[in-house]
Amino acid sequence: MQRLAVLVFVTFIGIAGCGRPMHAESAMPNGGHDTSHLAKCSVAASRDQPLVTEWPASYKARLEALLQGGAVAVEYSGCDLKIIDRCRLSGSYAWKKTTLSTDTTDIQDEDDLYAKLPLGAAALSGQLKTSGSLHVQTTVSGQLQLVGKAADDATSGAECSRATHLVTALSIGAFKLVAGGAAKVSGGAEYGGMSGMSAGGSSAQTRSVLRAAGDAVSCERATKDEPSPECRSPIQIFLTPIRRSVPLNILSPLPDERG
Amino acid sequence: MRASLRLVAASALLASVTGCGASAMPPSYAQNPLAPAGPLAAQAKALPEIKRRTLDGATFDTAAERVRGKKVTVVKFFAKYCEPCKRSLPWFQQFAKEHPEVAVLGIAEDERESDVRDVATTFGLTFPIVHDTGNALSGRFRVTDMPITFVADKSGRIRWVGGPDQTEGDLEAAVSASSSSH
Repeated sequence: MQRLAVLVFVTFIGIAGCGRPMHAESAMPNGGHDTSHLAKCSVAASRDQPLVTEWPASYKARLEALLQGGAVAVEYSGCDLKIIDRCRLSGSYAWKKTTLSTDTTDIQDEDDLYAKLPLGAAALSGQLKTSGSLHVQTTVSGQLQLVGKAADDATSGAECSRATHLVTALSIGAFKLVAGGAAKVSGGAEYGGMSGMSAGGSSAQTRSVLRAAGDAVSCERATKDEPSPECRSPIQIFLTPIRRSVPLNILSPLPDERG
Repeated sequence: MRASLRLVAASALLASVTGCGASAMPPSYAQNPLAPAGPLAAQAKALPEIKRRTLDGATFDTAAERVRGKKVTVVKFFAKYCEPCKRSLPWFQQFAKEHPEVAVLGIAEDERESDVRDVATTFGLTFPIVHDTGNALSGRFRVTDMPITFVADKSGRIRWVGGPDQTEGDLEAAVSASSSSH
């Protein structure tokens, strides 16, 4: 009988030792942590000056449209950046031509891919394996700069209560993501000289344009009055925090934000 | 009857000694390409080696930490702009404090080192922190979402990847399972 009791005890200890360690929090869903909002963030190369080239085309188009109607406000807290469409503000964006600048990022392996294009890395991984390399080229011909609106007198209405930053500038130009080949081909032409898949000189590898906006060659035709019509894609936005006398968290939500 | 009882007891005793093996390991964040394919060591991928200067001027070296006898290595990515990351930092700091036998490293993805120092001060972080300039380490760890935590065993194999929904209990369980698995 005594031996049976020992066996039962050992069995109980064995069973009780299984499974996940017990913690006070673990009995609650998700350990008691509130993950009802902002459950995760994306890694990005720049948070204060996000590259717009990673945005979906529809979102970029909306930004471009809003820029025509006055200063653009965004909600930028935590991870996400959201354009506040209904926050209509005075001010306008004035074109300022800058020296043409071209930046090429070469991606040779998956380490590069995840470091330099984290948002699209998973989708581009297969393409990188197939083509051997990826190249991102951005050409900037100038900026749209906000004039006539200061960040601290911007947002008194309910429509703007969620706004945290103003778009104070937007760099304008062309963007191209190319698979295969090298940044320079043997004929000396760079991507800026490419039109679609063709280029001067020769290259042993096949290149294909995966994504593009604007035409880099046309960027040279920007004037001091306006950007070139073929080179006016948003590349990067510059944000300035809105300074408020009333803390954001005590402002009332908009009617459609309740419950 | 007696033979059956002995068999049951022996099985239970074995389970208690081994910690029930892989059953204690919480599920990994499958979206990360370095997440283990299964519970076996052979299904685990190698932890990218890190040898970097930390905020306090020391050098953190994952290989050296294992040589020093650390049974498990925990690497956590976070950033000042990442609110869910910051919500997890208090319990992660507590975990680091309570587990000196574990090599703990924080990797901050902020652009400015001043932001990393702000977070460390605000949350009283005492574990080593590396500022990942240029996102080089996040690239090597295939990080696209944060917060994310990697747990590697003594042989340097990644046994668990905790994604945005990770909890303190998950981390404790993963470390416990990883330390007994090798």
